[in-house]
Amino acid sequence: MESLSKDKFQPAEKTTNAESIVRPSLTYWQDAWRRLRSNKMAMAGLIILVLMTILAIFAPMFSKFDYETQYLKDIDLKPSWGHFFGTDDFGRDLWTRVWWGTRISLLIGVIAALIDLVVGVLYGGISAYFGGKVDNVMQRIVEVIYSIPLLLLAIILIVFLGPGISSIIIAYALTGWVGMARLVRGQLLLVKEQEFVLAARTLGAKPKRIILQHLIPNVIGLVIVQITFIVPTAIFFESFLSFIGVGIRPPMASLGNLINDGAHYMRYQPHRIIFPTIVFSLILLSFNVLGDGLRDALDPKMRK
Amino acid sequence: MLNYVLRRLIYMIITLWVIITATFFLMKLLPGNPFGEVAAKLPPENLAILKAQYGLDKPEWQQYLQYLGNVAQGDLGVSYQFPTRSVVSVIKQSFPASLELGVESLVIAIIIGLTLGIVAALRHNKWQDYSAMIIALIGISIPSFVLAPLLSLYIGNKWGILPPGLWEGPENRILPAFALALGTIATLARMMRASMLEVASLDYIKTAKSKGLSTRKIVTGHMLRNAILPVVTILGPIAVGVITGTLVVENVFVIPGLGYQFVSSITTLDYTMITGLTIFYAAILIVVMFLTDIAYGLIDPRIRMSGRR
Amino acid sequence: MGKPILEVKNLRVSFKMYAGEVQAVRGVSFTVDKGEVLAIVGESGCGKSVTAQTIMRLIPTPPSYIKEGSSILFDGKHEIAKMTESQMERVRGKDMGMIFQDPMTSLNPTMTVGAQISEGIRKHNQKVSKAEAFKRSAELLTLVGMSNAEERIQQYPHELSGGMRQRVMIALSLACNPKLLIADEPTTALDVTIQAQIIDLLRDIQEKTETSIILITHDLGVVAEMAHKVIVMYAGKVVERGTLDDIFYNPRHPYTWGLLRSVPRLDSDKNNELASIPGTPPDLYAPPVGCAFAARCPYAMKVCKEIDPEHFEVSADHSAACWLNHPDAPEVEMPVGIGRGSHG
Repeated sequence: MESLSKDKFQPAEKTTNAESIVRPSLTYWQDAWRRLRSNKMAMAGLIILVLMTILAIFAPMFSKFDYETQYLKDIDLKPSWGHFFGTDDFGRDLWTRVWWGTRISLLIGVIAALIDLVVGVLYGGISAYFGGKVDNVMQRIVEVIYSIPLLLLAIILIVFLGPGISSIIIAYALTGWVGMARLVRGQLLLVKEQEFVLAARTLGAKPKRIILQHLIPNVIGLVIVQITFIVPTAIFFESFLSFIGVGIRPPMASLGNLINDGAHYMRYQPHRIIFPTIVFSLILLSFNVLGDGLRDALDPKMRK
Repeated sequence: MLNYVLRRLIYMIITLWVIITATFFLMKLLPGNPFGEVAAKLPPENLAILKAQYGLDKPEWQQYLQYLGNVAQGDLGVSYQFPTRSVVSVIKQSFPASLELGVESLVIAIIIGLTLGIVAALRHNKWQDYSAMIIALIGISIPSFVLAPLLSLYIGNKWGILPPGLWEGPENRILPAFALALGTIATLARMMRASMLEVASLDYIKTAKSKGLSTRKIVTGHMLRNAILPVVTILGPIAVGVITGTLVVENVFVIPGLGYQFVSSITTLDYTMITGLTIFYAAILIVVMFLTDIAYGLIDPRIRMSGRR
Repeated sequence: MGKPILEVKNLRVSFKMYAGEVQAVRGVSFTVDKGEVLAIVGESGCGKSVTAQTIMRLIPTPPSYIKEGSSILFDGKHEIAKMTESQMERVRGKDMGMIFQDPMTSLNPTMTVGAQISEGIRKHNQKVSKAEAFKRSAELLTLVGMSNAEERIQQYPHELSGGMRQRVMIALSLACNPKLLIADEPTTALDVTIQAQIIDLLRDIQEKTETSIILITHDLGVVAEMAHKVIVMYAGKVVERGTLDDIFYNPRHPYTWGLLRSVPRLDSDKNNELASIPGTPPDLYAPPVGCAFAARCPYAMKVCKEIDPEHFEVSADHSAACWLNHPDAPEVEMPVGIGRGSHG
């Protein structure tokens, strides 16, 4: 140590800037996407969902059969090259019916989620933005609606309105948005009180700017996660109603009534329940793992 | 705490009132007359007598008040299809089976679900964790209306291990209770696991460790109680799920319970039975939610003391 | 005073993370004598908390690992680095107590204060009855300056203020008369007025009980109040050690200068600005080759970026790991406003 040459003790030239040591910064979305991609389960869920959607759109289009035409000479066929999933007791092709049913189920899920999104975000947003008395009244209403059992209300509504896709969607929409509204309001209130919003307000930022720059980005992640849970809930909802006989009526197909139908014939024709069940369970599973993955990826608390 | 109970009580009553009012107006929307097919053939003067007897000749607001009064006194009306059967008598007859099924399945779900969740959290990222979470994912993606027929078919009919249906001895209880419990097991296991992991990372667990407590003591004395708190809040919705699940399970396993009655009254479009049973179900669900709220207040000292929420 | 209660030698602690190994503590050595207060100071992320918690083995393995060659000798006989978990349980709470940073979160919200204190007492003295343990808890609460101790032990943490909770934490750590108390930023989360009370209390207790204390803090004001010895940590290493006077009046490391300059002083000239140290500590995934502080050091020399300096002894208990103390290094004027009395 003593034998160091003198010139080592010359001041070092400033090669690195002390401030530049920090890691390269990623935007919130890049960071979230990077983390989602590294989650194998969630990615598998995403891929399955994309495949299912493609099949739901195109399989019925390219099938030789349609979902409602009955071929009475082709009754109760087992799965084969002609009918991948077999046929039912009216000779309808189950491959077509299952994907048609998937299409209907996904459609119901997506529309329900959209309604939840619009109504819930508006309601929660208004409630949180105005606060005070408005918030108070709006929240009392929410509390009452929240404690009405959704399925029961849906059942009596559909019994009296008559079954069908629109009845199901209306029944779901009547109470489904409440969860989203609560979530959005809660998160907004939390963000509203945080220092950076106070700071922006103190600096004289306009309300529009605060909403666009601060509030929306902080709520959007939560909303996306919530949607990935609403879609399967709505799909489940439709299937449940179809199963107890108030959902979608044949000849229209939905995963719920296919499963219900299949249950009656499963003793001798197990293929009738197995295929719609597999598709249905895969959809629920995929949405759930994707939702979990998104929640982990979008949760800013987890950000290192 | 008293304030809190009172407030929940008031909400409970308002919610019930909203539901009863909704059913009343839905009934009014129905075409035809309220006495069903039979009455349609009666001569008009007899019909008028019948209407007067039921107060249907009065203005609607009086009818509405009378309806509210009847419900408040526990009179839910008579069947639309079989006017000799009152809704209440049907409930008395078939509710016990549903209650038993619901409670059994809830107990199974709580025991298995919490155990899975706790084991998964304590063995975080080990094989026990992964297997518990795979079970949970299966439970979430296979709802009761899929699981129940499959269990009945394979374990009941094809392999003959347990009876495929009916409601006789204890062996008849196992399949339906399990079919009903699986989804709840999954929800509880996931929630309990997440909650345990959250609590394990909190500062006071480090404090407990710094006192020299053993891992066992830390888990039983500090983690479980705190981890179970958030789980209690979803017991209400979980009970709701179990109760609605009985509609499916009772039909698949042909159990003479209220769920079976409810679905058959839907199939036969027995309107008064449907509304009567709906009000009854709603009342049960709301009371269950209320009770879990109170239970939560009792085990969390922060709420017990201040009554805030 | 005199005999060491704790001797830490070449302590190295790493965290195995997804992205690699974080070397949080990179060869730290120090001793704490009986009845002595040692302060460990440094910015957040310098490894001082990890060091403290490792002494009580509170960080779970995985992800943290104590590396080969580390030694934590307690009371001349316990080799903490090699003890099993069940051996540790007998030491924790009995021979060593710990006070954490945030009293709002370090107490169990669903357990009464008395139950939380007596739990530790009963763990280490099996013969003590529940009632006796509660009585002792009440005495401890009185000792830490809480009135109505009998009622307090029945209360839950949320019924107490932050300062009160920190007193409970202190009582809890003192429950079994430990030989060593580790206070990890005990005042950081508190209001300024409460901070002073808690420090007074700690000093008071230290004088009464002659317990050794390791005080982890980034607040040099707190250090000046009660420490006997100070070690300054940076990027997982000790960069300077000395007595309180050495560090405050004759600091020999530019990082210590930076720390001292960032504290407001009543006796300093008005024209001395409060300085902050530019930049952030290095990434401990890949520590730099030379001195870890070189990138932020205004006096950095070529050698600093090439060779990590050893400790240069200034006196028997004062040393600094900085090339400026090398005989060949140029004379550097300490920044004005610190080191009063050192340069005339």
